[in-house]
Amino acid sequence: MNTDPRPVAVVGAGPSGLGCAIGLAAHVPVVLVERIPVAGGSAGWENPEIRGHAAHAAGLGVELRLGQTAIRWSGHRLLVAGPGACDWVPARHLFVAAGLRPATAADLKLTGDRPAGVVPATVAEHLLDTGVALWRTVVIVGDGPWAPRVAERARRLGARIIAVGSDAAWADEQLDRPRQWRIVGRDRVRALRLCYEGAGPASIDVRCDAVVLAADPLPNRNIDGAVLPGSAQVSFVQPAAPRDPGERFDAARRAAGEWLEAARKVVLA
Amino acid sequence: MHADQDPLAGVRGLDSDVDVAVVGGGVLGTAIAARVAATTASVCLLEAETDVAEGASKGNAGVAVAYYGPPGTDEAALIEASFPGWEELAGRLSVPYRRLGAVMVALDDEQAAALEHTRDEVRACGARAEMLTSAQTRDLEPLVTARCVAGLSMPDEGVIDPMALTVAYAQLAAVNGAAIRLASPVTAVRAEDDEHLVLSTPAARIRARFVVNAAGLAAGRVSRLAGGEELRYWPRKGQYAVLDRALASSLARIVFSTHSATTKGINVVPTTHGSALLGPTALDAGDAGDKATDRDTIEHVIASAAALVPSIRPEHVIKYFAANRPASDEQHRLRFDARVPNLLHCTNRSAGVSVSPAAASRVLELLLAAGLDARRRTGAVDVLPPAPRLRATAEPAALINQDPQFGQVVCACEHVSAAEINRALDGPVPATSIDGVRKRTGAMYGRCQGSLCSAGIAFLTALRTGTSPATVRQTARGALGS
Repeated sequence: MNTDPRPVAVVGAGPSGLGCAIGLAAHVPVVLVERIPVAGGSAGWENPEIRGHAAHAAGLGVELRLGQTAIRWSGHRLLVAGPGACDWVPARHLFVAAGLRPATAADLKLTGDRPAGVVPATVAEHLLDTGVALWRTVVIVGDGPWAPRVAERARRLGARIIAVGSDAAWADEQLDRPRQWRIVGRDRVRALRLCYEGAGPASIDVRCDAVVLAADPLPNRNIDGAVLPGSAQVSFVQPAAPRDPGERFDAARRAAGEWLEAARKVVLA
Repeated sequence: MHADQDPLAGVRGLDSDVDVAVVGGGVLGTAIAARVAATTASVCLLEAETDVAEGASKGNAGVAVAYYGPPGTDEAALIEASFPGWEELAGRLSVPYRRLGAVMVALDDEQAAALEHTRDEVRACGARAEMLTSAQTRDLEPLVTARCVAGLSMPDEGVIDPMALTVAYAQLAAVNGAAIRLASPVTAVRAEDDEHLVLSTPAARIRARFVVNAAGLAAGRVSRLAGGEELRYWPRKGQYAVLDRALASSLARIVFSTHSATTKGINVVPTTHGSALLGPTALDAGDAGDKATDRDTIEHVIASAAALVPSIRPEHVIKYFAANRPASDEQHRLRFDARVPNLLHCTNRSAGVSVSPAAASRVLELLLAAGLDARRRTGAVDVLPPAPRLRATAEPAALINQDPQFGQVVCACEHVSAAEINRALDGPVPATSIDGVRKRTGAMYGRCQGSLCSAGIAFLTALRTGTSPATVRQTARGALGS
């Protein structure tokens, strides 16, 4: 087990990345890379549990590299870049715990125009955090973890919220996910057109001045050489569920333990 | 004399008095402006949109072709004069270009026979072409389908970033003194005397000795405003799908489908960003503003591409888009107007990028022959500073040592750094929208389509353009907030 002196690299210091790092650190050296300058990821940096985990990881000797981005995985080395710094980190294995993002228009097979006003939920959340009213009628597509947060912020700034494809207590109006959908509006989005099968009108235009994509959480895959599944050198720890940070932490810690166990068996064999 | 320091400006109610006004900030208009700006003649460029490369120059497959149609045409001659020089030109302008070569794939015997005809045409156009067996085709591009019965190797074909090229031409024009006037649709053209036209835009009046009409789909309107010929242009809509670069980067060549009598078909074109474009379709329509995609067409595009390269799957597609190219009864129009002697038309149906170097030189020759007084200006800039990309750098340490901002990765999928984004927001023809940053850097091009980074880019863009997150432009035409 300990014949390989190289560390294990973990990318992402959210609940999953911290779970992996802590699960591994008692047995192997760990380098934990995080894109932004603080740990926490989807749980938020101010979360007290996360702060405890980050301190625990540091206490176990995890090398925390905050504010640095892993950009390439090649030949058991991870290329990590940060402002003014860049190096190849040798690693025996890579855990990708880079979190989730909302499905894109192409992921959702959302066709039609490509006007201003169609934004990923992650982006909408940041923009609305500035406290500036951006939109009057917002269609929120899907029920990813961002959806209620975007709804809450937009509503506080005076917007009406229409939810499509989610069972949303936070919406002023709710519509089922259609068989097909398209964006309508050339310069600025005017409507989301929903096409349902069966009786009733062929399509409904839901008038709006913003469409926020908050559907079908998908894993962030942005390390070249570690995008597609199938490599024995890479483990992806980016489950869509559970959403609770504590449960995500526990699940990742177990995943790390399972990998350690498998690696131990390989050495014994 | 440069438009900016024009002593006549202000006189006779004019904002500017130039030797040459170019209408249209696409790849042809900017190439022409750059060519003229390198001489002693003064030039201004008028673009209706808030950025250059907003029409067909934005929505195309990015192939710098060596062959586009039958030999013997003016278009073929301009392509032949242009294609050998792409490495040199792209190097000078710091525009991503790769001469990958292409294989044209025949899927049945009928197509194989058509390939021989294409081979003869390619050669007659001055480019290289060799017939290939099925096995040879798959040697050149292992991802090509096993159903391939024959192929045609076209080693002179290459891929270029058409938006970067258009921006670079505009920058070169600007650093050589051309005035780039954006958001300046031409609303009227009046002949002041036999030798001068006065163009009106909502913000300015510009007198010009010569007007070059490179307005693409709007060229018919510009000609009409100037009292020129009735030129007919109509939009030919093309839909595209973009393939994730995790798969596309293993493509070694451009993969063309065999041309038929009626269509060039759906192709698989690696981009300089590492992704690949699947498309385009070709549908003549009446509405130039219609850039919508639809599900049936996109499914057809993906299925047709997968017929050439079977590893292509719908789930590898990260984006759809559509664009309109300027179809016309004269596929390539580079000549003076028959009625207005100082109005010169320069448009192309689809190969604007590929003809642009030689077309710009031809335009200058025609203007000189018609009496433009211009010589090569000493001190004219013909090289743009290098534009390094973090992702394209094998060992980025040196780059980051030079400028720490190259290590600050903003776009996580495409690994575009803060240095590259800030550069796009500065310089002679800066981005003024989030989309303008995308066009110049490739940020937000990747599989997450800006989910992680476009908030940050919105803030940077707002900061540089003196706007706010609510008012910053998301596209050339629309703000993020409403």
